[in-house]
Amino acid sequence: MFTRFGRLIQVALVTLAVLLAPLVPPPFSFWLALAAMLLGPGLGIPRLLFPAGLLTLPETLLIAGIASLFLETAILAILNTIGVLLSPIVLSVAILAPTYLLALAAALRERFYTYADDRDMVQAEQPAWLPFCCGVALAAVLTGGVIHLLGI
Amino acid sequence: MNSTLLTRAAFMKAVQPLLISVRMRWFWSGIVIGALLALGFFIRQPAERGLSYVEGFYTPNVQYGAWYLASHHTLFATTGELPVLSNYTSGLTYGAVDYTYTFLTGSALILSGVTDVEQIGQLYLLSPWQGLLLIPLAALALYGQYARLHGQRITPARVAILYAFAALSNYPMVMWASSGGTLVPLGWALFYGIYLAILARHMEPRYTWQWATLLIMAILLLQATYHTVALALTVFLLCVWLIQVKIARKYVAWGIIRIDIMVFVTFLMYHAVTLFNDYGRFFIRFLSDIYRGNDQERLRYSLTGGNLSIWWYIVNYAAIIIPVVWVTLIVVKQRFRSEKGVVVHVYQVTWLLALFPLILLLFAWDGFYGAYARTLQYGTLLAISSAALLLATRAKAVAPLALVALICTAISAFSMHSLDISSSNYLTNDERTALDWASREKGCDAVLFTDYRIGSAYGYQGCFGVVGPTASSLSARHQIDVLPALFYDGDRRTLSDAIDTLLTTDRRRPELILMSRRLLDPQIGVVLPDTRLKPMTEAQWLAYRTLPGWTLAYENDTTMVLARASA
Repeated sequence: MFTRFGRLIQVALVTLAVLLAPLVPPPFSFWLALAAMLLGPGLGIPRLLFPAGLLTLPETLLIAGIASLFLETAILAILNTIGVLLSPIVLSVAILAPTYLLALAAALRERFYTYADDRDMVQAEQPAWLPFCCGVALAAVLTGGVIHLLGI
Repeated sequence: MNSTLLTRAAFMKAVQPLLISVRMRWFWSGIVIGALLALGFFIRQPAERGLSYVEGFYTPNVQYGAWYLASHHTLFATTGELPVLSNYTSGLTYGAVDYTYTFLTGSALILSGVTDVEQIGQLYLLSPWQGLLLIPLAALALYGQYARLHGQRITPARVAILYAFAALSNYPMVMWASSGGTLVPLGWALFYGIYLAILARHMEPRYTWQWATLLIMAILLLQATYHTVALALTVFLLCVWLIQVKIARKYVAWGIIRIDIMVFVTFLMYHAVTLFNDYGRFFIRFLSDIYRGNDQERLRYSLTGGNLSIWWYIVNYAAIIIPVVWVTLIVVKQRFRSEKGVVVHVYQVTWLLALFPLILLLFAWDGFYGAYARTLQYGTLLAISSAALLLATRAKAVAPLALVALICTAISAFSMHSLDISSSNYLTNDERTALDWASREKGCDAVLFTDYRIGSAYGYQGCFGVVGPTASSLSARHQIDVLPALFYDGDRRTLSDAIDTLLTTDRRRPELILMSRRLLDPQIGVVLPDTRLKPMTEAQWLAYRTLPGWTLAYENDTTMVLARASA
């Protein structure tokens, strides 16, 4: 249940990033658009191709990124070739359509086909995400603040 | 306070669990990574004060490729505001000859509504995501593979050390800091992807078609992302092949090597047919550069547009179809190697050995600088890979590698901070204002003569009638004698004659001259054929100011624009 909910949240976040990108000021607008393009279309690929627990998070992100780049480049190149101009609406559809489709495909794969490793796969130690992220955020803010204050 | 609390034993008893519990170790790992992330992000920002966010180009070879100008014009026509010109390696990086980055960044800019040249340049400095996130991610993915392969746990300390290696201390970040581009690292991350796929496929034969699918995606992206990586991997893999033949052991699957070599040779053929002269330089013009004055031929070339001969259709489709068919056949026939228990460290040795021929080629391409730069570029990737391997396989490697990572990070941070941005290709605000004035008041039809750094940035205004010769281009065209007259002699007559010898490719004479006092800066100067910088003389500045047949049309604190009196 939590996994399905988490996947829905991921898709929702990509959608939100695409929708918010034109509305927020730079650099956040650019970062949101870039993140949506880099992670969105290939979001479902790792779970579509591999059993849960096989990949580490960096592997998952890298595979999602490479798949996103591939899908995005292929889709936009095809659109460009057939004469469709890359307007914000076209770009939004080009990002969100493969995101939804592949997320759905991943969900269907998990529902109807189970890899042999799905049950017994034991991934190497999972990070304690909450303290890890707290540490990253805390150190980033403190270091940035110190650098800013010192005017380095 | 009870004195017993002050004893070391009591202190350790109370504090140690907080420091070494699993959750706390991940917290400390997060602290290290967060600090490095912030350091990497902020260290370059303040140094840009006082300069514009727009940067001229460093080489005439790739940025003016007419095919991508045409493509950008089509791609970005919807907004009508994005400049069709984009810098290949720095500043305004939304793509050039390499399509993945064009689509990715150009589309992100359109989607976010950022179309102003200055804003794009500013975003570049605020977005070192490839150096700080993508490359470390690839390195950590590789570490994950090694850890799984050797049945080792992924530990927070090793993750933090590897992030330190792969973040600040990498060539992508150095390039970003010295105003070079983050376009290139994207290609490197894909290079890592290939490496990862080869390794992973080698070790986990259960997921053959899944890894093959990813491998196809990654290798099809490479040429479209960074054409030099395709060249590099071709040379690498040929050498890996030869090394394996020599040592008579197969550490990398033959099938994958054959796939990759086939794909990259196809890509190179695709690229080299158009840029045949460029690749020919390997063999006929060592250590020199060529500026082609007859680039009109290249205007006819379009990756996606019309006017293509049947040959181009064959080449275009072959570049896609052949690799896919090849890979599919191999997958169907299950020719991937499935042997386990491979000695993983031989990967590193093999790939390091394979680096040398590539460096020799790059020496031929770009002299010692080429060999040096490319050794750093590809060598750092291999070094980080080796660190990942050591961290996954050698328990005693943690402490020395932590020390090395600390040293590397400190050196990198200091280097980035102390880099003098004024010696970069960034235009000053005065130069940007003068360019803006020239395009607005005189229009793009008037041909502008200036130095290459400023002239290349004229394209951001949508103006391409510019003459900005470099010493190497003059040398290649046997016009090197013009250089002293243009920048050093201080003689008005010879200067005037020299300017009249300069023509655009459609044989138009300059109607405007833009000179900046930055040319008198020893760190900017004029690049001589041997790549040394030689600043313009004060006498020359005065000669321009009172040049017969020219009038001073615009002037600010450090820049002047002259117009031909007859214009």
